[in-house]
Amino acid sequence: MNASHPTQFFNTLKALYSSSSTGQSSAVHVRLAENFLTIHFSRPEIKAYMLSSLSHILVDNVHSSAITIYCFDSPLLTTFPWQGQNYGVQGAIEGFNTTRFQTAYQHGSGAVMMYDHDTKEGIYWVKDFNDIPYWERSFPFRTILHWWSRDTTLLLLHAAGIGQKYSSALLSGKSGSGKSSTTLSCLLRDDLQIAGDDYVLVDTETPMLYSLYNCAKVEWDNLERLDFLKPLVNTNIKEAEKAMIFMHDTCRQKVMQKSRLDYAFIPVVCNANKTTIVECTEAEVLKSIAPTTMFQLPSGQTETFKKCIALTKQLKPYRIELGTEASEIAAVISEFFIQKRQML
Amino acid sequence: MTYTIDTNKVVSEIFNDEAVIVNLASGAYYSFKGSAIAIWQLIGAGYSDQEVIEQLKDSESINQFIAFLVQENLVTTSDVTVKEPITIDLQFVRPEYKKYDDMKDLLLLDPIHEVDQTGWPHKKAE
Repeated sequence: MNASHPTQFFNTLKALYSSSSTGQSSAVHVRLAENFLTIHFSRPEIKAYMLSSLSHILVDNVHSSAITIYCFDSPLLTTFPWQGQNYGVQGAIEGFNTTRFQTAYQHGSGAVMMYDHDTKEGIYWVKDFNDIPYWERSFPFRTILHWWSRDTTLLLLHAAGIGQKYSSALLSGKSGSGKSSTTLSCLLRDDLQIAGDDYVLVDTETPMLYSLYNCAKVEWDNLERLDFLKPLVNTNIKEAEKAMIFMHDTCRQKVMQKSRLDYAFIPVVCNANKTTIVECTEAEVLKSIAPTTMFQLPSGQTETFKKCIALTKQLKPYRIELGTEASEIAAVISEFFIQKRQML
Repeated sequence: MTYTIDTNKVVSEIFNDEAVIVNLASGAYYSFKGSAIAIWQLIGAGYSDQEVIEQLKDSESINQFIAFLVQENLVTTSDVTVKEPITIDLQFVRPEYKKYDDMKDLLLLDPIHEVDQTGWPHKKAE
């Protein structure tokens, strides 16, 4: 083994975590679909910073964890065992992504993330946790959880999830497609809930939708149109490019923990008088969910594509041609679920 | 001329009326409709361009489409002459193909950092 071996670097990071830990009890447990994640934080400040978006799925005790993450900051790591030419797409480090280990550098935060598929342990290291950008708070540890999910039937999907306790839908689309606005319009209806607005966990074998992050983001400009969101916005994060809403803090009854996944919706901005939900094709759904999920996160693109295909073939595909009024959009979505339930 | 689809670089799925193709290296993805689906399947099964034209009977649009596949690095020329058995709809419908490159930015290496001798990224000077 030489200094550039991923095993050695992983062990170096773990040792650094141990020496950086303040010794205060810092482990938290999170429900991850039908599994549990344990996260060890080296100090309480990082824990408080990173947990807001996971607060709705915290649990007190678990018998065993499917994955353990060590999260810490330390200035003592001053060199990396790789060179400049080793940085790849999405920060994946060439030579440090093997059948056992995954490694990526996170541009923006300067964080290094590793995952060991054998031990199911992940590491999130950053020099100073103040360097962690606001957007990481909206989907903490998404890269490590993506790596973990590769060994399961789960998929960390770049899509929103909405619906009711017994039936739900994905909402997928490009930036500007109306995905976030449509998702957040569900806050206006008592009978609709939101599992996530950006990433959701999905079981691709027996389609189930699981909430992972309770943070929703919306363009500041859209707040004028969606003024019902203004009281919900976290005003402590003003530096963000988007307004952030931690739904578990402000409207926790609207957060859907899990639901059977039946439908895929592709929103289309039409500026029509009325919102209409029409059937579309499986190919449209695959185009809307697969590339964006495959290329947002490092490695595993082929597996992700296969999981997206398996998922697509089990969902009924629809296009939502959006009207302009959020309340009307939500009413049409609500009526859709009511009608589908009556047809069962 | 025969061609190969490198499945380590290109993944695809064929539905009834549309094929979705993703180039893993470039991030571009594609929609194929009409006889573009059959051409893609025939090429993937080892049929030469001439054999595809014999099957589908429209040389101009088939040649254009195959040139597009080569240009987009979705296929590469090959010496392989072994054909896999394949059952497809051979009724010719003008090939339709569309490229989406909205993922391209996600694949660009980080534009705001550069890397020093030790491998440590630093923010570029403004």
